[in-house]
Amino acid sequence: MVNNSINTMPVKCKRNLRLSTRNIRKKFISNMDLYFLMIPGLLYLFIFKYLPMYGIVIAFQDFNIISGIAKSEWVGFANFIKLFKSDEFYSVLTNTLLISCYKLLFTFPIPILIAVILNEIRNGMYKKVIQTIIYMPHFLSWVIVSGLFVSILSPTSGLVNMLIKAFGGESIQFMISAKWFRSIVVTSGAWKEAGWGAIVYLAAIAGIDQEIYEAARIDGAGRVKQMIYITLPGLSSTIVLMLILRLGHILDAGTEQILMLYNPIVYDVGDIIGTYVYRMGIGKMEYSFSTAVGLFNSVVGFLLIIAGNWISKKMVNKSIW
Amino acid sequence: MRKLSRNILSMAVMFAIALVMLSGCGKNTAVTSNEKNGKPVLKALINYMREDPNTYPAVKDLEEKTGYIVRYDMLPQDNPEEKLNLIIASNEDYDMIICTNSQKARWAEYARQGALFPLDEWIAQYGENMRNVIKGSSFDLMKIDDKIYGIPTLGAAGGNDVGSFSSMLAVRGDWMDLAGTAQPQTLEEFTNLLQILKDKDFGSNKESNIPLVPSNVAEIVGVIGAFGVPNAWNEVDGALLNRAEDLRYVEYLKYIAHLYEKGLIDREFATNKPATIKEKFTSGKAGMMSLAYYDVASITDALAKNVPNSSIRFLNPPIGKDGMRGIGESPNILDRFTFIPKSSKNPVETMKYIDLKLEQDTFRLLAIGEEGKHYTIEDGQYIPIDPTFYDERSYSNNFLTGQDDEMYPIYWQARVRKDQRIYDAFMYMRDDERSKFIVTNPIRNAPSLQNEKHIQVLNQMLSDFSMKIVVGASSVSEYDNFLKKWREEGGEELTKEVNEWYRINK
Repeated sequence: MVNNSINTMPVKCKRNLRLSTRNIRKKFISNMDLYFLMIPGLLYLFIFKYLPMYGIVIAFQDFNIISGIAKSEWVGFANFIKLFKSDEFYSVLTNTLLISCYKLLFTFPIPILIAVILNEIRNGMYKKVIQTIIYMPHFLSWVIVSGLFVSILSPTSGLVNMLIKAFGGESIQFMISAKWFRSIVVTSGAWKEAGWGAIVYLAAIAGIDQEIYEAARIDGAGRVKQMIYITLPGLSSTIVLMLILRLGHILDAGTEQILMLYNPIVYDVGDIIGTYVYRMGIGKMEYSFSTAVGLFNSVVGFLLIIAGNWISKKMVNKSIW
Repeated sequence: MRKLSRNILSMAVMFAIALVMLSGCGKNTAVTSNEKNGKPVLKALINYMREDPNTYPAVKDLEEKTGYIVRYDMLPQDNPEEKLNLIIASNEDYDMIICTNSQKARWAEYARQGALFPLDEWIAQYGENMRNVIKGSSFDLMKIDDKIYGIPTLGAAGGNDVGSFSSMLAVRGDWMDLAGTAQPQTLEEFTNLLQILKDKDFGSNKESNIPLVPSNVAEIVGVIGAFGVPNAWNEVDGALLNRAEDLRYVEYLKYIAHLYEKGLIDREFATNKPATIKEKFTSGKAGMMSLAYYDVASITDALAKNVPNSSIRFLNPPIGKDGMRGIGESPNILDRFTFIPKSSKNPVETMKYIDLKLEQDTFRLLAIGEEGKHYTIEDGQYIPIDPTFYDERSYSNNFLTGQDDEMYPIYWQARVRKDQRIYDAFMYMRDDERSKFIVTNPIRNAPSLQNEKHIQVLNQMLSDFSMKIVVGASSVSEYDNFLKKWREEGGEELTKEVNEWYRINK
């Protein structure tokens, strides 16, 4: 059938087609080494990212650890129905979205700001020292960072509360206060990752042609003008790229972080999908249910990243693919 | 030239890293059997202990005596249940897992799901020593649907029905003397004592002064007895009622919330870890904590280091309304137990090994060591020898896989004397006056129930709810809502099953 249709095609077109397949083969052979270099990467992707996905099926089963995936009972969408019917899920989903949006709103611009400001520092030595210092928290685990924050915010011996009291205020129980918990999550997240996040932007700034700056200076642009009209526009494609990537993680509000920071008193405001899955799956051994929650999380993340890419393609004509 | 040398350097570094990684891999897989006799190396998971189990002297002695090499891993100190769930779910190839009684509900659930080997046949075939020294009634505790899924270790009780508790509230004795008050008798006097500890600030801790640092606000030992709910299940009108459903428990929570509001219990209890609680007491910041007899020595030493001339005194439980008073018992009479997961590669060898450990001389060697080296016998009493006993046998109870039910309570005399202060505290909690405070736990001898699997979740719910009430994040008016959820999560079925058992076995 396929052959047939090709045979009935106009001759010119047919030749073009043959030419292009030959072209592809030629290109393939001439770039053979590059294709071979791709194999380990593809293998990695396949073995560690695609193969484990078979585990998703337990979201549709009543999974029993002993029977395993092969013999567990098939229950269809029962776990998802249970999920959408539970009150807890909606409060968990709201928390996740809120914390994630706060993080996006408050912590996304910080690395950009840091990069732009660092770029303006003339003294190379000073710049490097600052850069190293603000990278450092990224390498600390959340166990340590949460310990730091708990002691800094302690109502009896913490630095912050001592300051509050020195100025005549009442000490605040930060860690068990529903009012403060989300702010602590956002702040500690920003403190830990801001410096590290700036690396990408610094690299992008380094890629901006110096001649543009020179030309602007000759035209009489000051440093602030250069920042606004050259550095920031030069960064825009990187910013959009990072924003789209970030969108895919909107339902991932920082499980590790919150697991370390929260306690039963702030579950109402701090429990997110990740921590909920952890408590259900590991604490209650409800593997199927927690996989269903996780799968829901991934599907929404996937849709968001596709939508984000599409919107940015339409709006600013920039996209990842 | 410079570039070249840098390249060489980086290659050398990478080579070194690769070597380290390879050697790391090798270590794990190198030994699979004992070279001398070909017996397989067994993999065991035990409870948290402070020393490295693999280099512990008692383990070396066992290795020589039985010919089996055993590699030990430990559960973490925080949330051991979660780690245990992960291990079972991922089919890690442990040959035996030794758990304490608090993980019994987990074990029952694993057994019901078919994750564990039933042991009856192997006990009959390879368990000669086992059958001799472990009582049938002890094995009954390890039965689920009439099959044995574990080897019981009853601990000091040794199958005798002796009621006991292991923790009491302890107060800084030197502060009590400074305050010049006697032991509080009533709940009111108890509250007053806390108020004095707060107001007088004997330790000059200012902001960090803590009258009472609770380990679990959901059940502060002694205090909860003053409200008539010392055990998780208490008899009300001939039937058993869980604390969660008992209005007296709500009264208790209101009282603790009141203490919290007045700053009489640690403001930061919600974020405390087990180690922080002890640290707050031993650093001289807290005046009161609940103290187990086996922690007395380490707590006293740590406190004396930070605060010379300090002392610790136990408090009798205060009397509440209508003369309610008492301390509840441990949840069941098991101390710990051993089971074999289906993922084990050498289940039969493991059973043979466990049986070898219960041979009388071997068991004594593990429990208290050698006569003359680790202990002596004076007037029929087993006395530990300082310091070999402490250095080489202090933690050997972590390695017990079953016990000689007759002999262990006798050996226990030496074990509990591993420190005179521990022995004294142990005897103090069992003297005539203290024995009156024991409130028998009505389900202490209950077998594993179908609905036991809900217990962990239910307890977690209750403790979360209690915390919220205490700090004022929830109000008591939400109790009905909580109770409804608690019943739905399995509380109702559990209550029914517990009472069915109780009616027959009371």
